[in-house]
Amino acid sequence: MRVRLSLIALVPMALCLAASSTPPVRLEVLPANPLLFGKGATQRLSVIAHYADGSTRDVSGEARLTSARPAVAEVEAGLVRAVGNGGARITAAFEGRQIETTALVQRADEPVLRSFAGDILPVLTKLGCNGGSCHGALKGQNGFKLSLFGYEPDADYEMIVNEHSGRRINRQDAAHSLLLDKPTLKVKHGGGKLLREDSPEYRALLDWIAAGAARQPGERRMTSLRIWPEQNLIFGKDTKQRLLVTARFTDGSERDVTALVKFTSNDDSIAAVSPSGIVTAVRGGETAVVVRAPGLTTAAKVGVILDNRPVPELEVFNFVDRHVAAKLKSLHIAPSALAGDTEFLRRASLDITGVIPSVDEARRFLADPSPDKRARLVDELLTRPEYADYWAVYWGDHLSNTRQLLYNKGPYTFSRWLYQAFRKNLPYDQMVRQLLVSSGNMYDAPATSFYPVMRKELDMASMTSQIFMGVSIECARCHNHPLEKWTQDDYNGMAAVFTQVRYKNGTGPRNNERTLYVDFARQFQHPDTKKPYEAKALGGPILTGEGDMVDRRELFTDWLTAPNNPYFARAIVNRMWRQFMGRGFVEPVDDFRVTNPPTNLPLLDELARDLIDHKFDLHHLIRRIAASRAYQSSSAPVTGNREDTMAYSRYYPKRLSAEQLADSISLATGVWDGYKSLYPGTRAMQIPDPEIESHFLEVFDRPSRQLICERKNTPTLNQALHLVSGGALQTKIGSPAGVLAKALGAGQPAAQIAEDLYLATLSRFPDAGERELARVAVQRAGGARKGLEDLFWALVSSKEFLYNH
Amino acid sequence: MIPALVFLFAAAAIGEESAPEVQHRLPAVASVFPQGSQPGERLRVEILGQHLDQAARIVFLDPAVTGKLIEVEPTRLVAEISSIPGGALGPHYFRVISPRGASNASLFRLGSQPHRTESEPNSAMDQSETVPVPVTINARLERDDDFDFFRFHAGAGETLVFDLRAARNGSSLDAALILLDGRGRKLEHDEDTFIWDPFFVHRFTSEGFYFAVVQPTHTRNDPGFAYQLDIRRDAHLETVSPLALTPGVETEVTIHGQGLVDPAAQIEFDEPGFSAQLLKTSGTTATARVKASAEARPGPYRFTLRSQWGRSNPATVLVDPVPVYPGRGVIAKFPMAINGTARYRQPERFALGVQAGQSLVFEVRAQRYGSPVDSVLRILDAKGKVLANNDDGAFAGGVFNKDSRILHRFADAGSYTLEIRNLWATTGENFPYQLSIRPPEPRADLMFASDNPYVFAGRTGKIKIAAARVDGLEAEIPLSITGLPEGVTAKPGVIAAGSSEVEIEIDATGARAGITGLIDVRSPLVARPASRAIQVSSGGGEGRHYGNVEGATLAVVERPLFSLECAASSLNLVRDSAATLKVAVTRQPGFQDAITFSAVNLPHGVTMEPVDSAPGEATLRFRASKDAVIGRAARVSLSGSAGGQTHAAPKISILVD
Repeated sequence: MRVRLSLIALVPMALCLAASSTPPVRLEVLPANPLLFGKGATQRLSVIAHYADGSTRDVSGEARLTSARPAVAEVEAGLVRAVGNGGARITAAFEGRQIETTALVQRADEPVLRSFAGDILPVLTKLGCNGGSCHGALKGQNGFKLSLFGYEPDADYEMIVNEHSGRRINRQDAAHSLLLDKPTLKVKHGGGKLLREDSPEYRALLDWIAAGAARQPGERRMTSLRIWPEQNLIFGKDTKQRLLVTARFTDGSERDVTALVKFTSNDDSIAAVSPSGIVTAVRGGETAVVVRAPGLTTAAKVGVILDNRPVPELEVFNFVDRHVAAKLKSLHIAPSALAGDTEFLRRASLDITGVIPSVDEARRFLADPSPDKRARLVDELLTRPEYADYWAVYWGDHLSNTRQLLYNKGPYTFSRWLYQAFRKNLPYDQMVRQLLVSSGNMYDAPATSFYPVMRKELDMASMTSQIFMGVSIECARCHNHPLEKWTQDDYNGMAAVFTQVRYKNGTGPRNNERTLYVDFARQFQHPDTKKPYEAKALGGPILTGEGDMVDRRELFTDWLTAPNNPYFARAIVNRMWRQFMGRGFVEPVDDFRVTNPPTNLPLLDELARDLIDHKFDLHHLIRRIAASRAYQSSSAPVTGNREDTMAYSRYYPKRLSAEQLADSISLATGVWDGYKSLYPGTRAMQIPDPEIESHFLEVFDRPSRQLICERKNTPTLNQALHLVSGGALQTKIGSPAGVLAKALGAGQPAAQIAEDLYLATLSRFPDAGERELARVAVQRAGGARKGLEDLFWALVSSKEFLYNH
Repeated sequence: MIPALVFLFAAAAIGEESAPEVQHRLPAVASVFPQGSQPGERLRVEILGQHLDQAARIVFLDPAVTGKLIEVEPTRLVAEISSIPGGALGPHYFRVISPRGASNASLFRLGSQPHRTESEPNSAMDQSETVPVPVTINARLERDDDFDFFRFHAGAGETLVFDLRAARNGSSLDAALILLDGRGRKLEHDEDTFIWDPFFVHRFTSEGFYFAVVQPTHTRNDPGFAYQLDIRRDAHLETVSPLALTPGVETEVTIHGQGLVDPAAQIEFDEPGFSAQLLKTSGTTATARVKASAEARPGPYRFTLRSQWGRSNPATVLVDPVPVYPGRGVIAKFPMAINGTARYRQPERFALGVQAGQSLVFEVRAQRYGSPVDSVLRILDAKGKVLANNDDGAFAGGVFNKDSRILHRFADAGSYTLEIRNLWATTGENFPYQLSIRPPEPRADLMFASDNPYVFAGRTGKIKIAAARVDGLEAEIPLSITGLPEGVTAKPGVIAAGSSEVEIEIDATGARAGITGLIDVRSPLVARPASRAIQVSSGGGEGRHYGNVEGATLAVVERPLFSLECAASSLNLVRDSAATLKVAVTRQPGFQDAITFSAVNLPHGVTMEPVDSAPGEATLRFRASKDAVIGRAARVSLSGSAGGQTHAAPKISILVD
């Protein structure tokens, strides 16, 4: 039976990947034209077979490699080894196909150069010794401190070789060096056993110590990494693909460093990677494999295709769909069907205004036969005050609008400022400019609340880059960023942008009235070294202006909001895309970096360009996204896209946020919540400050806003219990002031009321089965009120209500 | 009042040196409701506060307004306030007078619009109270979950001014004002335009009914949370550019404000000698021709715009006979005045030509006279080196100030640059200033340490006067005092050369308790009589609102035989349980009489009973019954009677939960 089941399981796979059993149409050798420096230098080659159906397979283990000039380069077990200077033609053959490449050998009369930075530090990085949780921590571990991921070779060499009178190195008996005894657990080691004595890493360390643990002045180190292949498509579950990594060194040489680097997968539920760089396909999708060496990182994209049969193409409503369709096609992911009007109405209302449509709105929209009604709906939603309320809350979350940071009155004035910005559809670049170059007091100039008085220039630097550039540089506050190019100098340069921000206290009669002003003469000094820094935009120019009244924030804002800025438009497009599509191109939205590539870079770039061309009009961006077929896809999966979480083959359902849920329940039931000190009728989306108490909002993850992060939207048991057994929902449903009581009081028939309850909660009419269920519910309850209350409760508690889908 | 409870204390001889001082407590007014009326009206008001028992009368500083007490309780008075038909619009200060002394100055406002008092319940949209427009509504948020909804009609294209006065009326209410359309959608929301008072102007695009909602920002309301809400058709004035007029010279000025839409409005000054004509209105500005008579005294003057509906708020313009800088050339003759507009990073710079050793005063007049300018002033030499700079100068009587002031002596003759700019980025034509440049004029400003001092009948006392010396006045400052109560005398006072204060000795050995006098302290060296910045109201946090009164009310009071002090200012009770409160008793030496305690304003279902007594301390037990009313009673007053006197401790609040 087991055998039979296995065979059955294999059938679809065989069908899906039938092409792989036919001969390839061509071969590819990687790296193309390998370079080998020094006698005995080796370079592993990968051989990729390309098939007629577009699929590929790593056939390195099966292909036959030969060298036309073994005196220059010999080939053995997939490795090319340097023998003499010159070029050697290498031929790879597999299943009747062959391909040639040329290996170029240089400096064959010299041994392969080894160095501390180029050979020893990478071993420590690969073993994880200099990771943030081990000796790479800010204060190290147990007195042994290494730079994070080896970005400071000089300091690391001192620490390993010379500190504590060189106790970690035993040149006389290298095998008894503490540097080896600890990771092999010959002596106690808090990090456990990391190294085996028969491993190449152990051998490298041992040989280096035995050779005197020397370090030559100006010794070579890696300057860049390259992954082969940089873009991977792997066909079939559990299929493997080898990644190779070459490094360029300061002396101009190159080398195969695959064995020296550390591999990690950004999503090992899609593709896992072994320490030696073997990628294994797990499920369909796309992710990145990150490669790390001391002071360097890079990444390769890996796409996994489980079923390579052709899939239907996404219809193209606008340019958004061209890019989504291309991605779906490349990953062989089928798009879901077009969402119906009810789905679109509810989805657009929630995504644009944060609340479900009313019964009247739903009836009107569903009855409208005009073909452009979706576009007109979006236009209308954008003009509503609820739009401004909703986005004021979104930005309140991200700009720390809480009395914990802005004193009691700050959240009210700042919230109103944000509301007005969205109500007037202030272009995004102008909104950011008003925030960044603000001055005055929080009452007369509420945009100054962007700068909570208790934060210093260092906080402002990281907050600004995180929010408006999508770049997290917090790591560089203490050390060079381990995963990006940002250094402490970059960080301090950004901090210098904000050093001129000062406060004058007690300038008026209002609570905590403080005036933010610019001290034009003030310079940033490093907190430890007191070294003055020039203001420098992150990844941009040094910011200098003429005259003695230069506000460096203004220079920075000019750079930030310029049309050619590589960060600004992309960052806001990514945020907005996430809000509408449920998954940003880059996640987290404020973590743009080389090692975290976007899910669809061409689309991100075209949306960013489109936004710039339309003068940062967020209404335009929303219209563009909402008009796309991708946005209007059904959330119901189809065969082939059920596992997709990044290619936008369908609309990804989102749990309603705390405020969305509270207001939607209130609208559906006709009973509004009361919030302490806010007038009756105030909606949850109009609460300016998360310190205003609401148990419901707390349960459904309203953030405190003291940290800048995206909202959690994972369901919890507490939430379920709150809906099932909490009294609030039942009270609203049964309230004499609620829609149900009013409908019953008006003598409406139960069937009509049931229809209205579906429209009020799910924005759709009940189908025949649901109408019958409602009829039975009323009948069994022994009365319309009880039966309809039960129905109402079931509707509000349903996933269809609790999720935006 | 609950039945009296008696404690008999054993005589306890306490040495005078180590004994705490018996506290004398003046009457204190916390709120007035309603807060105002139209001139010529008579209105019954409730005054809340402490130590109000024995209140004998109400005294207004301006005789155009009078008050008569109707009911007197320890924490509450009812009075009837009347004003003459032509009474000046604006705030009128009054004090409550009792044998305990004169209270703090409180405020009653005369306004030009029809007034009405709110009608409860009006805490929700479907309970809203329909009001006519224009209107001034007297209202308060007196209990938890109290909101005020007012429904009114507005026409398409109509502009209305919404102005809620609480802080400016002496109330500690901190409220938000919200404008909703007929469907309940928010059109406007404001909280803290004037101190913590909300204000906005709205132009209605469609005709219909709308709602003005008053929402507290406190978590708990209080009967003292009174306010006035103006819904006006009249403009709101902010400032005038130029800020200063030259006497006898007609000047075209721009009036900045909101709701400046009525070209037929008349400009009216609060003093004679001005002619003015409105030329044009454009919503946020109006232009006018204004002329002050050649004899007009230098100083600030206030004017309003009067329309068929009522009056705007007042704005201030200065009159200054000093020559005005013509706009070009080196300023080498002093005094000179510059009228300008303060900008942020486009500072205005002026060339100065000065003599070696010349001293000059550079003073900005802006924020003190209604301009939003937050000035920064610098003096630079020919090489651009900053010789002096100032952001906020010190001005007597001003608690919050943003005007700059520099007194600088130029060591060398030559050319210098005077630079003025606004500190922060929001600037515009509505940021006018006058910059006065003149030789130093040594002078002083006199200030009372207290605006309601007292002296015990049959004893002597002291009144402290401080002098803020300006521009190098070092000479002694002789003082004279007038307006003393009958039977009270004072020795002439002198503030010694170089000193900044003096205590004037007051002799009340021949005076009786309960009399008062509005005293006036002057000096031949000082132009104005002594004054006092008074705290009109206070909000949470650092918020404070100050006014300024000239003179002080001196009271002759009865010397207290004892005083009481509660160990806590609040007490939490749970239904069907009790809690105790200790009350410290401080006695005059030799006074041993029994003290009878009583309490007023206890919540329903809460009783007080004696527990223990010790020399100098009583313990009282408060018990909440099973059906005690849940909530907070904020004004519970505990008082004791002995020796023919009754004295209360500072009020406490009791929360039943």
